[in-house]
Amino acid sequence: MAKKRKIEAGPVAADPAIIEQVLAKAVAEGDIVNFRMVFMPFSPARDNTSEDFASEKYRNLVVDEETEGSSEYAEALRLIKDQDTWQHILEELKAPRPPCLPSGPLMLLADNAVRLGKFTAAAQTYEILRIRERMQSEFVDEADRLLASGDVSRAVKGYAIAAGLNYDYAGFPDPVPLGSDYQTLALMLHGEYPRRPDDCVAALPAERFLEVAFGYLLNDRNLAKRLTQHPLDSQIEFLTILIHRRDPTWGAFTERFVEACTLLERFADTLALTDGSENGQRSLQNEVDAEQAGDPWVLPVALLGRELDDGQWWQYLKELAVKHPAAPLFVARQLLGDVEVIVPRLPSESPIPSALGLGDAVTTANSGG
Amino acid sequence: MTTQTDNQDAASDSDQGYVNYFDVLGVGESAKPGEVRKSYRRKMKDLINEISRVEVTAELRSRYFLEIAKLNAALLILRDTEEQATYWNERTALIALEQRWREAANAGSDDAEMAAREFDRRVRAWLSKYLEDMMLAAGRDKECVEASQWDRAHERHATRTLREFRHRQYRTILERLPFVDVTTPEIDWDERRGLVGSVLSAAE
Repeated sequence: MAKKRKIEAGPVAADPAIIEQVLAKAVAEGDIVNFRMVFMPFSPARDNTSEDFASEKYRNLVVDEETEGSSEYAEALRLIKDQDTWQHILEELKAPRPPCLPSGPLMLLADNAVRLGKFTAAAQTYEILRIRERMQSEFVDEADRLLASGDVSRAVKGYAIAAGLNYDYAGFPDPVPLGSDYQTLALMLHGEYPRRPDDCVAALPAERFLEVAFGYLLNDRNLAKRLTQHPLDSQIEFLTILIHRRDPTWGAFTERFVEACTLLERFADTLALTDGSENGQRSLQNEVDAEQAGDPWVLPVALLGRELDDGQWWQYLKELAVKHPAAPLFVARQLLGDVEVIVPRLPSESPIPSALGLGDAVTTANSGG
Repeated sequence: MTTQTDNQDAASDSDQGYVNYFDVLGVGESAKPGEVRKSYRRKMKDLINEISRVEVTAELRSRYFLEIAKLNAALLILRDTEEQATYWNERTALIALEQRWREAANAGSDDAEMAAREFDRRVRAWLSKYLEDMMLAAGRDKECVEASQWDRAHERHATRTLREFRHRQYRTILERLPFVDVTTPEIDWDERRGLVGSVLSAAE
């Protein structure tokens, strides 16, 4: 019988220099999770645990050459090494209770997180420091000033950061950073079947469409309302830049959108009948025309760029929202025969499609609605 | 024109996070059950009239859910003298505990930390009981249901609203208290504005 091996796991004292480096790396990288981890009861930074920074599982905490050479890391290390801060850190690592984190390094961590686009980490950290809402206001105020002065690109950045710092106080069990879950937001956008073609999002008048689009893309109705105080031209330019920031592959969607609009022409008769009928309800003629027009699923497939096995309209919509967050703003739910699909739809007589590279599709997409 | 919801907002501002159901119903602390019921019915009728007059948007819907839930919870708690006394005693004790902790923190006492943790535990439990559980329980009470037309569908929709309200009230209380989980930050808002400017002007 094999002899049982005795596992020795006594406390391992951490090297203070390693602790400094680990904390500085977390600050430089805007990583609130790793920063807090250092102060956890099981942390390898504590002398009374058997955990060791030399262990493979903690390799991601230890500073690498690239980070070590950065100015952010040097600044963070200087702050951690500050005598008062370091003394406080050592005391907290010895105390057998929930830690009191040092606010100086946390502030720098949050600022670095904002710079790196890690808005969830930034929001959490500013929330701990109780300045999250004020920081949001500062970003929006500056963005409004930039937008008024014509610097739309930077204004978009300001609004995107402010939106990224949002918190969901209805989070369960505790509040959490809000984020933008476009899969869910897109479903909410199309939650109700339009009673008339004009009721769908894309067919809204330009001013109203912009407010809905900002609210959806920023996931914040208050920011959207604030944006609509600016001139229409600025708003359209803002939307264009915002969409490209949210979706670097927007060009690929516009190509597929134009293709889908061409396919939509086949269903023009069915759509005309549906639109004329009471509340867009199905009719026998509608079903006959749809049968003759062919398979309606070619439309969502063209929009998405791939076919989903047994996919429903909402599955196409969700995947479309993940690949191209702004795409759900330019589609509508539509009954074609006995199936419900998503079809391309554009605002009529609006300068928005051209600004977004959807100009070629205007005629065909509007002919449907 | 001052609406019912404006009045409710003013009451919320004055209670410093500890919802005062006497203020919600606009009655004194010695109010008898009859007076509580009379005030509840009048306020609920006014609120329902207000709702029927306006176009209810998504934001307004959440607000009205909350106002109805507050009125219902106020009736459920205050119409019963025993329940009323328990609620008021717990609330008063909590406010006193907050005061004791602040004094201990200001004096740099060793007890401050323990008081802080104890206060945090109790305030969370109190808010959970009186701002969420009671509001949901009131939505199943026959008298409340009859006056407010509250049903299971309202409860489903209101759950998020009530949780958000509870967390925001907790935040309201927390923000005026000394820092515990983090050392007190030194904030220079000119420096913060400089940071905002530099972040927005940085090349992408």
